[in-house]
Amino acid sequence: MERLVELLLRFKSGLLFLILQIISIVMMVQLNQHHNIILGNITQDISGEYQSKRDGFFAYFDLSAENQQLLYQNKRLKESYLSLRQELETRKNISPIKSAYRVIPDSLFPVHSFQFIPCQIVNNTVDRSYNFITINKGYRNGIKKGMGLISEDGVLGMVISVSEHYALAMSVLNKNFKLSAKINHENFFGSLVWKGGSPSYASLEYIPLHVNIRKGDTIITTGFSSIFPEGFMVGIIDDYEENSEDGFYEISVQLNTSIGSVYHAYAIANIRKNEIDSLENSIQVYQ
Amino acid sequence: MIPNIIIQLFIAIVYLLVQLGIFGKMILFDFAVPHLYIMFLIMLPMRINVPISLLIAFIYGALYDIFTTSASIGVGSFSAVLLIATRELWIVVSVPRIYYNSREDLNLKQLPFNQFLLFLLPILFIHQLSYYGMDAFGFSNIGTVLLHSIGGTIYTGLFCIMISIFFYSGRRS
Repeated sequence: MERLVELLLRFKSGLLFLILQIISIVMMVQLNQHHNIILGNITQDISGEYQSKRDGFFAYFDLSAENQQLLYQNKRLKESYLSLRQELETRKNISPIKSAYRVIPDSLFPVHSFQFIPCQIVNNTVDRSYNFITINKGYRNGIKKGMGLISEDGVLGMVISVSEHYALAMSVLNKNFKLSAKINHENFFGSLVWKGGSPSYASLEYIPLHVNIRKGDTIITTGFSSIFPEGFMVGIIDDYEENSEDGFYEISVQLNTSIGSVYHAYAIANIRKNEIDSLENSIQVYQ
Repeated sequence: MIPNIIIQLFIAIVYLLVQLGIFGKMILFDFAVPHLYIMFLIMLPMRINVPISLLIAFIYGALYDIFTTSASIGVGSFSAVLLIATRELWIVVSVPRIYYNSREDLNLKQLPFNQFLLFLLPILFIHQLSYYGMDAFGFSNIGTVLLHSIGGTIYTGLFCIMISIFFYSGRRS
């Protein structure tokens, strides 16, 4: 205590100077409107800056939760997009004469039959001939064998095995994977396969030579498989050759998704898949 | 001691009255005002110790703030306290030790004219800069603040020199 008093006495002039200057500034701010306004603005700027820096800092800790929120928001948007698009298609196909028979949308039986389950990729290979993707959602989360797997940019693969908390999907970059895809502007469909090599390119087969195609044409899903909805981006035509022997093009497709760097994905559940499958299985009776 | 205090009090009152009544109205080119009242603080006897000088400056500046209408309240006391602090630091640098043995011995009236000028002008400029700077209270009008400060330093400096020649140079060599 004595030392403190000694220290204060030693610097008494400096301390007194500071105290008097502070009193002067307080007088200025308290008694003059001009100074009050300026100081108010400065304080507001500083506190605003501090607040935004602080919010920015703490926002880092909420990024994971925010990502989840965004994934679910995307899921809802994708579902409503599909619903609206299919409704639009339905309405387009009804001629004005038949307008009396117009389909009225029913909330209990939505036009679209796909649901999206957000998930994260926990393991992924791209450097093998048969690549697989592991996701962090299993049958507890509604994942089932045969579901499609997509990213924000396009198709990723198809679920082939499911455990309680995880699921394994066959990647597009798997030689056994086949996807029904079509050229967007021509509506001709073929089969997308990956023959190995670069993970950025796949091949589109069975497009007949009379179809007019160009480099850069968009390749999308057909929706025939009941795994993927129609219209999901697959990639663009990078190059093509005419194979006169079998009458089909050999088309190289640049995949839209960089499969090796994807982290967030959606498993697609077709709620009418069983119905479609059982109907299609009935064909066997007539074969 | 008591007569000295009364003399200093009398000088302070005279400076303030002359400033408020005459010099405060002698505005040159709409920007230069002679702040002659600070001559009292500049010439405050060095035998008064620093904390007391600071307190005197604060009260003196506050009195000027109260009675003048040309500046914001608090500006005068702020710049007066800064003036005393600057005087205490600058005196060590600007006045050679040949003129005094200890701080208390120094008599500013006995300084040669050029030495007095070297001592006077920088602290005058710092006073003017702090006065107009604190009045503007920001950097948006820094050009105007500098113009007022330089103009005020020259204008006040001229009067200070005149006052020092007439009243403070009796024993100046």
